Amino acid sequence: MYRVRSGVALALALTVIGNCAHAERLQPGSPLSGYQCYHIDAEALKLTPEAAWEGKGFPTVFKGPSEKSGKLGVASGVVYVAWPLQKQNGFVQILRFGGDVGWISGSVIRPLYREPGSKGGCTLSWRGDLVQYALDPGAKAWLFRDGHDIPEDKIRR
Amino acid sequence: MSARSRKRVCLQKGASPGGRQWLWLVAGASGALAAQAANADPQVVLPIGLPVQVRPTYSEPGLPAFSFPTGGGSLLGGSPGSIDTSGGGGDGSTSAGGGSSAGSGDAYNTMMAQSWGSAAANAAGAMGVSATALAATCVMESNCQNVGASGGGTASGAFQMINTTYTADINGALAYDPTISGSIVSGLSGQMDPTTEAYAASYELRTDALALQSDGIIDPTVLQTRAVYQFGGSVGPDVAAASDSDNIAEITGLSAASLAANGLTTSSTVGQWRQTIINKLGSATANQTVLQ
Repeated sequence: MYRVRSGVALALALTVIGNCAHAERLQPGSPLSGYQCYHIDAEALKLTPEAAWEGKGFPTVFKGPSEKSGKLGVASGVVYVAWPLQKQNGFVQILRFGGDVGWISGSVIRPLYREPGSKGGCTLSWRGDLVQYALDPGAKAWLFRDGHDIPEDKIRR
Repeated sequence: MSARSRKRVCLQKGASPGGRQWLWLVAGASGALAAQAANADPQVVLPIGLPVQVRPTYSEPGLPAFSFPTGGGSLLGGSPGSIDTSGGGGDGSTSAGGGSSAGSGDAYNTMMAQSWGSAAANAAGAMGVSATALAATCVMESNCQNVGASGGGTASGAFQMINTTYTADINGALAYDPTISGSIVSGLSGQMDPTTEAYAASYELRTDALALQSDGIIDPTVLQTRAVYQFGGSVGPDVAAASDSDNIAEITGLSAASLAANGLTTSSTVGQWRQTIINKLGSATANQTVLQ
């Protein structure tokens, strides 16, 4: 009986530790070849141009491949996915702009839009402690397939 | 150019709200010494910088708010850098509550040269953002001139906020620090009160910077935050994280007309856009951290 209780306690402790664990962060200069550009999926998220402009409705990034792992932040546009895709429990591993490793639901991201015939993705590199991307020819980091504009009532004249 | 408000899950950083009334006093001994020196020698003695400032822990009841600009400007010949006392200047500016916020650079000096500059710096401090970052916004938007709306739009004031954004942001600022309620002009009239609009603009900067933090950018700069301010919540962070060589239209998806409203063309690169900001603000200000 004692062993059973100890086992349960240990499992609970490990779960708590896992939930509170800090996200892994790549050090500036670390290799980035294992990542590729994807984008949040506005259609799946049912985002409108107005919501996108105001930053509403963006998907949560978690510390692990579970909603219970804790929130790391949100993804607003381009996401750097581990490539080939690393999927667990419906979540995909990503790298954030500051080098944190996180997880996002695989149902709210998609490949970049591309011009017909192109194989464009992106190339990642470090600029200080920021992971920057350079789009390959033909790739578009657009939120909507046909691009989008600043909402009419937000334009200054 | 455009501005908007943003509401999202944020990683908190920066000064906590609260009534932070700093009272600045100046030791007057230096003036007396200068007078003595003048009696002994008729030559004009030019002061170098401001005299030593005393920052008391407790304010003295009954005294008005009193603040000094912390940088730039000669004190001679009526040039920028004049002392701002509560009650505002001739432009109807109100005095500011909140804590002062340190700053530097040409943009900061431009803002502090206005009669409402010190009050605006205090507004920045109250919202937990750098006064330099706030100054960068007014320089970019109006060269810190309190101008009215034109061309059929609603963008007005020193920070050129449109009505909807201003309303959302001033309400956000009040929610963040309710103690500022006595320092602001209510309603849309507040847009034309530089101190009041400074609270709204500071809150906007705060939310934009927090959005970048939430997207993984650890310590957002003026330049990075400007991308969110200018291009919106979804593509702003993408512009901030793009390389200089990227075509800005292929990142944002904005039409030629919208790009033109931002002073860009379909062939403009992220690097060119960044350079326009740096050219106007200077590299040091553009790379200044927004959150305090």
